[in-house]
Amino acid sequence: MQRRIRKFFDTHRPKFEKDGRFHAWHGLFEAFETIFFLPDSTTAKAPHIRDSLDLKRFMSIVILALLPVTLFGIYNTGYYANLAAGTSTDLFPAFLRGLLIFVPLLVVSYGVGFFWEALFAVRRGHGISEGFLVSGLLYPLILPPDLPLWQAAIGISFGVVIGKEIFGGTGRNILNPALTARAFVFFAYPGQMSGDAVWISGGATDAVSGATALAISSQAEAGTRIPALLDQAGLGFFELLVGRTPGCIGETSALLCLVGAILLILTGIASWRIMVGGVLGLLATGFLLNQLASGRLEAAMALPAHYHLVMGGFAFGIVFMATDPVTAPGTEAARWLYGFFIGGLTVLIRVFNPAYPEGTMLAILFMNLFAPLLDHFVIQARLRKRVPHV
Amino acid sequence: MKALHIPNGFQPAFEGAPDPGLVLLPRPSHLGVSPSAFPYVKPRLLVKEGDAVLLGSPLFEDKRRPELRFLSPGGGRVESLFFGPRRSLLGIAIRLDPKEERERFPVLDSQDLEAISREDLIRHLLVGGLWPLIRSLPFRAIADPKELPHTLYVRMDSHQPFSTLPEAYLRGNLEAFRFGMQVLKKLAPNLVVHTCGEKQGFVLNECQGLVNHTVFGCYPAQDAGVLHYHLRKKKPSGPAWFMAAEDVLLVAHLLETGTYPGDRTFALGGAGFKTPLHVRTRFGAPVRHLLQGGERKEGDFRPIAGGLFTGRNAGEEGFMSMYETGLGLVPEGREKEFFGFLRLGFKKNTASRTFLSALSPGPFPVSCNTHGEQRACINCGTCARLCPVEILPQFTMKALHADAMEEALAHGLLDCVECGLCAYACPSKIDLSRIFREARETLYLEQQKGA
Repeated sequence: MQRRIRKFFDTHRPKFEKDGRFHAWHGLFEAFETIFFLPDSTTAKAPHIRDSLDLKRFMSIVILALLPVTLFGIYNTGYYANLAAGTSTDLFPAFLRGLLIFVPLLVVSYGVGFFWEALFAVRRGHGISEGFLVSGLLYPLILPPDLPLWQAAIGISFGVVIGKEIFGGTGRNILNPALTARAFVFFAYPGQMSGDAVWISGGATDAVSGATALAISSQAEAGTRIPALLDQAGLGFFELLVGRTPGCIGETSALLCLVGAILLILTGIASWRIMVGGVLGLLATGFLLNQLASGRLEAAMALPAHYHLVMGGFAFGIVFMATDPVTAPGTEAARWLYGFFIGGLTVLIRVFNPAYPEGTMLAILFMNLFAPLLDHFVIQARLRKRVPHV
Repeated sequence: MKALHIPNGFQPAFEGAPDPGLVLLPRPSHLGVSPSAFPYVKPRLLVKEGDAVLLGSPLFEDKRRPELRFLSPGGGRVESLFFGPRRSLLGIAIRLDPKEERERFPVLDSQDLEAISREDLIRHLLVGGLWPLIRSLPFRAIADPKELPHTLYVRMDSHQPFSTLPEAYLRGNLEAFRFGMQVLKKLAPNLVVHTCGEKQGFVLNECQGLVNHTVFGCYPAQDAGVLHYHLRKKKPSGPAWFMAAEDVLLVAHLLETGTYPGDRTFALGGAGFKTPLHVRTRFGAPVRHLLQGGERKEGDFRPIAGGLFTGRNAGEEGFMSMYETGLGLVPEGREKEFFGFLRLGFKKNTASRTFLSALSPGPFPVSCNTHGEQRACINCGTCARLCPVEILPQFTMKALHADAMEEALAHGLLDCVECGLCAYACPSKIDLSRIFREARETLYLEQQKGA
């Protein structure tokens, strides 16, 4: 098997080399070959040895960490689709139904996104970066199940081209590409991206309400208690934690996000400072609002802070989106602040802006813009401490 | 005794660490000098092919600083000169006579040393060709004999794979070492002699009263630049110099016997050797001689002189230069690994925790393969976590990329010890070391022009 694949690449390699017919496409060829074989390049000068970790491994670990939420998301989406349609909600039929919903979105995301990546890579004459492996999986996980595929395609095109490639590609973008893509769809097609109807494939019926915990919370009138309303709707803290709720495909289970977070932290791939900072910022802001609860928004302000952790996409966002190293700050002190502000802003947007019940996406995109500034201040503080050399 | 803890760094465990046992090798037929291995030296040849030389006759001097003389490691005939691109002098090979003649230098004993002035002592070292062993921070160029240093750092051991162990080079040479330290005391008002804190037994027992700092930490904690960074509280009054304890023995030999040193202990390590160990043979020995001495295996290996992180590819036809006491023989690694990035990785060398090898203490195999293609920086911060002098390499690299030299200097470009850890660990395979090295070289040459 290995020898067959090796032979395939060796026979076709000359066409992509310097004088070959398809030299312009060599980036594509190498991207394809290096999926199967690590390159045989060696070092030229000191240091003569290199770490075994490369970006492929780096990104594969993120994908591994995303697997639990992805599998659960597929099942959960199928479960609600079947529930609304009145068919079997057993594990296997639900999972199959979920696959039928999720796979087309995934194929569109990878297919269209990869097309743009390849176009820019060929045009610029460089290799295809691994960053899109993660963005292409993140994007369908934060979409509602019934988003039309053409809208998904336009969204990911915007995310890749405007969010990333015009800045120079992976590593040089300011905004998280997957979130940029989602934000585009969110503002361009609000009918398919918000409201109570879109979170269940096939549409909500009388049998099952599509209202999310965030929607219930943002519509709660003063004087009511949101945890009680959530319990009534079957969306108690425990259900929200496990994730058996309607919502974007992959975002519902805070518990499985925690599993992913543990893997990312153990391998050192994602910054635990951002995650812990985010949780602290969210709890601190939530707690502060609890103390100040009064007036028209009294119910939302009085919502116990820990509910914010499990509602909506916060857990998914802080674990998988906010920790994107490219768009997060590079210094450790700035990472704490960055996470903290994402958590705080999430709560503020959720509570004070009922037009957008979900604040995580906007909070992360907003803090993406501030990441370089946070870095700047931290670096200036560090540089002041350096003792001159001679 | 002062203890110092260095926070960052990385202690690699690679297959083929040399055993402290010492083997005496027979005399090689040739010896050689590699002028390109001396930092910032532009050689002006003083001999031509066919000339007879003594052990200790000058072979070439530096064009910019002619007081720096580089002597022949053996007596015989200049057999060949090797030139690289633009006629840069790569090597001088000398065929040894059966009976070598020696150049004579003045002999000093302890009492002479008390009486002699600092200037005269420096002149002895310059004429004796051993002054280049002393180098100065931050550029690691050969020290300027006209300057008075603030501190002279002497390192007893190096954590870099694969370097000589004090047990191997110091055993039996303690008297010479004590004498050498007496010499150094005359050169610098402030001596910092440091050894590894974790494995201090041998050096601390044998060199009582000589070692005054223990350093705890991973590679490159034993580097003078790292110590200088962590010990410095305010802007120092003069430059900092550094040298290796192995080289103190050479200085002692020159002054005690009046002859240019002939022998040196080398560490042979890496998967390419059947039995990695220490050997004692001639100063300036050919790489091939050492490869035979350490019983090399068959295969595509790269001989790396001077450590896997900072050394140079000496080539099988090359010679060990003055600073290089370790020879690593590491597989080139020119193979394409099938699904390499999906392996569990029980035997992968890495500074990260992304392979299962993170759970094992090693040692791990290592090769010259890059294990991936170059990509844009993703700002993951791996380099900043490892940097022993707390530079933020990813930001410094970008400053240099934008030609913002002032900003790079403010970031601590001059503190960089060129340890190579940032480039080693970068998952995007960016050659940070090369970027910093080239920027520092440009700076140094500009500074020399101005002076």
